[in-house]
Amino acid sequence: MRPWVIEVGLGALSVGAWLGLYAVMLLVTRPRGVAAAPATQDLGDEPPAVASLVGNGWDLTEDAAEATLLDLGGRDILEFRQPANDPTHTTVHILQSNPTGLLPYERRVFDRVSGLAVGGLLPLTALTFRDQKQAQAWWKGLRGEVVADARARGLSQRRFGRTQIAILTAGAAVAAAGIAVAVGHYAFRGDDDDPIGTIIAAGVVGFLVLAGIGGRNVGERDTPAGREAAARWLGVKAWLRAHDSFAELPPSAVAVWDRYLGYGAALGATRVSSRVIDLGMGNRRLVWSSFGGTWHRVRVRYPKFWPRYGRPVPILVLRAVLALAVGYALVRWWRPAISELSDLDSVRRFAGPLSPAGFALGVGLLGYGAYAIVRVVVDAIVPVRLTGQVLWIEVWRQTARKEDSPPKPWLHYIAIDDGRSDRTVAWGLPSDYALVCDTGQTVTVTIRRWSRRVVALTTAPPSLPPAAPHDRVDHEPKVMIDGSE
Amino acid sequence: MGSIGAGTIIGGIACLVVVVLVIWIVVSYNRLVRQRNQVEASWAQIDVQLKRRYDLIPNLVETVKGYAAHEKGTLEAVIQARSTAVNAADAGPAGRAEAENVLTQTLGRLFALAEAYPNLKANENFAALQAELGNTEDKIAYSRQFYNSAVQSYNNAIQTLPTNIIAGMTGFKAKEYFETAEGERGPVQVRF
Repeated sequence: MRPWVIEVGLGALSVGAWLGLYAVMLLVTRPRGVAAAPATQDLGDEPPAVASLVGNGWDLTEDAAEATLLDLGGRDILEFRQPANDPTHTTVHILQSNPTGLLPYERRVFDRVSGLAVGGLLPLTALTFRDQKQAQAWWKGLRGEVVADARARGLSQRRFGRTQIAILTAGAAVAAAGIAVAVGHYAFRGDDDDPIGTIIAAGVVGFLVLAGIGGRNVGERDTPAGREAAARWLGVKAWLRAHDSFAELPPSAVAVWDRYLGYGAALGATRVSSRVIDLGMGNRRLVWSSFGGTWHRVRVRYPKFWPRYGRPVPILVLRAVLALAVGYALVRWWRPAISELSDLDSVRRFAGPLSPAGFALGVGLLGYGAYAIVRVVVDAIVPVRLTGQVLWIEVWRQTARKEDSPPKPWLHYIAIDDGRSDRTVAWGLPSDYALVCDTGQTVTVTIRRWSRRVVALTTAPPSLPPAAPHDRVDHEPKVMIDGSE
Repeated sequence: MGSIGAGTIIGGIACLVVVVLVIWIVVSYNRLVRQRNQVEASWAQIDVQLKRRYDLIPNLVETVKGYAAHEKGTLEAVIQARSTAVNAADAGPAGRAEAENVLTQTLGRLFALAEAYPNLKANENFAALQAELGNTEDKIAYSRQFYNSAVQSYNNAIQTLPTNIIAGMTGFKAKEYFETAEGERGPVQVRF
């Protein structure tokens, strides 16, 4: 047997055996199936988010946040109003500005609403996030808080407990020893100066990697009390699902169904409400803005193809000069060159169309270069200041990936609503500025219209105070939906 | 291989139509049965809660008697209303709702009366019974919503085409709603 077969085989066998052990642990600790209790309308003591966790096989989905939002409505902390037939036009109104006794994840959802609300209200569909990292952090926090509450109630436990982690760690040590032997075999037959050091390094790295994988959090699993609660909640789910019309209830039906709607959302029994409520990433082309005190949706276009967009003046001047030079060269020398070369058969056949085409291209380039120079100069001399709310920020252009460095963004899109129109076009924002502003902030930018480049940016405090408490006030801010108030 | 005759094609299509029709009838019938069962299950939930209320009332009356025995009229009205409601157990939703509404009103008067008796109000047993009755009232309200929602779905199904054909052939009848008292409807406001 060839020595490399032993080395690769032993290493692969060690890692494979440990992965097999890991798979066995996943199998052993998977949440056990729970048989639903008889269908019942009696709700338990657990909040909707925890009911969602145990009712969905200890897998926390977005239902938990949606259910918590609806439950806040069922407890008269928020109110959902639907002005027309379409439930996507629902608005959320804050009835209690500082509710007490909220659980951490309920507070998180409430803060999300109150943080976005203007004058105590916001459109329901404006709750979506505009920043992927912010959304991920928010969801991670919510998940941790719900899981902590479920654990505190004895309804859930970490899927890999101490025993499983100890077994996997011991297994990792054995596998690492196997890897070390395989590496040692290779080191001793090769010309390694320090085979012992190599063996130790391979063993330690192998152990750390495998033990690290084994110690990762792989989710939650059931407990005896959790299974009992899950059976009860599955009974509630069966009851709610048996009512055909319950699935069709919009969020505003909380006014009648109180907490049932929240629990229905937690258990996946509310089709319409769950479709309308979205706490994920929003649509970057249709963004809610509260700039000017009126909630309205702004359509954003993101320019993509024109090479001038977002570019600095020197680059644009260089391009214009290049266009002028090439244009001049074509106008000055193209036709004589074609004429000179027309002795050649291959050129003569195309001389007819080539000669005017090259000349026309030259004229076009001259025209473009002159126009670009004028526009760049005007842009540079007359920058425009714009104040508005940041609707969206995302990476537009970045450097190419290299072997030793990841791609680095150098230009971002920034969509700003200045309140003049319900349509806007995103600007090119040098990526350094992207670090100092965030969506929802009011900013003042100095821009160059032709190149759509932001050359200066200052942030300002919000133009309107955040969520103000009110009780069904008549002077509240307006919500414009699809152009109509 | 011979060609397929026109008669075979027509026969095949007819068979297909019959099979589709039978499947549709079975699916529609099963749906109606499921909805009727849901109405009955929802009614059973109301029944459970109403019985719970009947069980609490004698204790409540006894407790109040200890502090306000001379309020005989109110106490007897409650007992009478309870008795009427219990006897209406076999009546339909409309008859039952009427008896329950009377009982709710007399209970309201009883609790209003307690305001005039601080000792009664401070009595732990009375407070516990009042809370329990309040909780039961809430459950009755939700049960009624579920029942009426189930009745609405069921009635829609048996009154609209094409399932009304199956419902008519197989004897499904419209169900009554469990109506609430006018005064109870008042505070509920839905803004659409």
